[in-house]
Parts: sequence; structure tokens; C-alpha cells
Amino acid sequence: MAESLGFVGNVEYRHVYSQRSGGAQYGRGSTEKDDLLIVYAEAFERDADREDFSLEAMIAHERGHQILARHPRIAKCVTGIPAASEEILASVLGAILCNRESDRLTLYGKAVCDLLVCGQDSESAERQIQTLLETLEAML
Amino acid sequence: MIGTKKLSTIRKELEKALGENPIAELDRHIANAKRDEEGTEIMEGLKKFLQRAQKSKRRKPRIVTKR
Repeated sequence: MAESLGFVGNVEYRHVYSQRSGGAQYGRGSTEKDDLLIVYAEAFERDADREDFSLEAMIAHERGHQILARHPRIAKCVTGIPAASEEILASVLGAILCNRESDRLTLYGKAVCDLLVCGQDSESAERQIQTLLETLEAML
Repeated sequence: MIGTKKLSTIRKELEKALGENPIAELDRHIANAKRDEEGTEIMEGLKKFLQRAQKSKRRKPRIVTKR
């Protein structure tokens, strides 16, 4: 699944619950081939819950983080951005990569929600995420 | 990291931000964006996201009676 989403590097499953990852975590290696995607036990519990993210959506989000770190054009533009902003961008990138519409919609929802938490009103948040979507699609 | 916030919580937060009638509010946002010649994929995506959640809430299990 990770490979089909374009992930380069190693994928490991850890049969433990992570503290705060939510199910999966990207780790940057010294080179792209050394990058690591860790999938934790709760990823499968969330995937089984209809009211929560699918495994593909979670992995797509982590692939989004890899793109932010490794894509030659995108990585240059996001150097030094706050972690909260990086999470929003990873969700938008993950949405672009997802095969299923339902997964795309969940990641759109997450991205907009993360902007609402920063104090944006809903219409502004939606327009900003739309701009990010169009910009990132053009850069990929 | 996608974080520990459940999707159902995200949906509730979006609905709260959109007010009493979230779908109507999104329709208003879509109309505004089209008027401004901006893209509406995110807004229309949110609308589908919320509508699908509403549909799955309304779907009641079929009760089968034994005769």
C-alpha cells in the first residue's frame, strides 16, 4: 500500500500503540532510501472503525510528509515552516495521492479542521486549503 | 503524523464551525467561490464528507421479526 502511494524507503510495523502518532509516522533517513514509515497497532483499529481514517488515508498522509522532505521543488518552499503547517500540507498532499474519493474527503476535512484550530473562519480555511491544493498539484 | 483526533470529532468540529445548517452554509461558500472564479473542490468535498456522514447516521438497521 505504501509503495502504491509512492513511498520510498522502509516500512515497518510495530505491534505497540504509539503515544500520539495516531497510527503511523514518517521518519527521515540520511537518504530517501533510508526513510522509514512506521505503522502502529492503532492504525488497524482505526481502519476498522467506520467513523475514523482508513489505513490508506493514514499512509497517504505520511507519504505527504515524505514529499515535503524530499520533493526537489516542494521541499525548498517549506523549509522552516511550523509543524502545524506541515501537518496541513501533508494532509493536502495525501489527499492528492489517495485512490478512493472517501479517503480524499477525509483528508480535506482534516486539513480544513486544522486551520480552524488556528483561528480561521470556515470559508477562509476552505479557500486557503483550495489554494494549497491547486499549488501543490501544479508542483508535483 | 495524522494525530489521534478521530474523524468523527473532525466532522463535529467542521459542523460546529459551519453553524446551524452546515450544508446550506457550504452551498453559500461554493456560490461565493464560483462568483470569485475560484476553485470549489475543497468546499464540495467537505459537503460530500458531511452529507455521507449524515446518511450513514440515518441508516437504521433492519429489524427482522420471526414469524
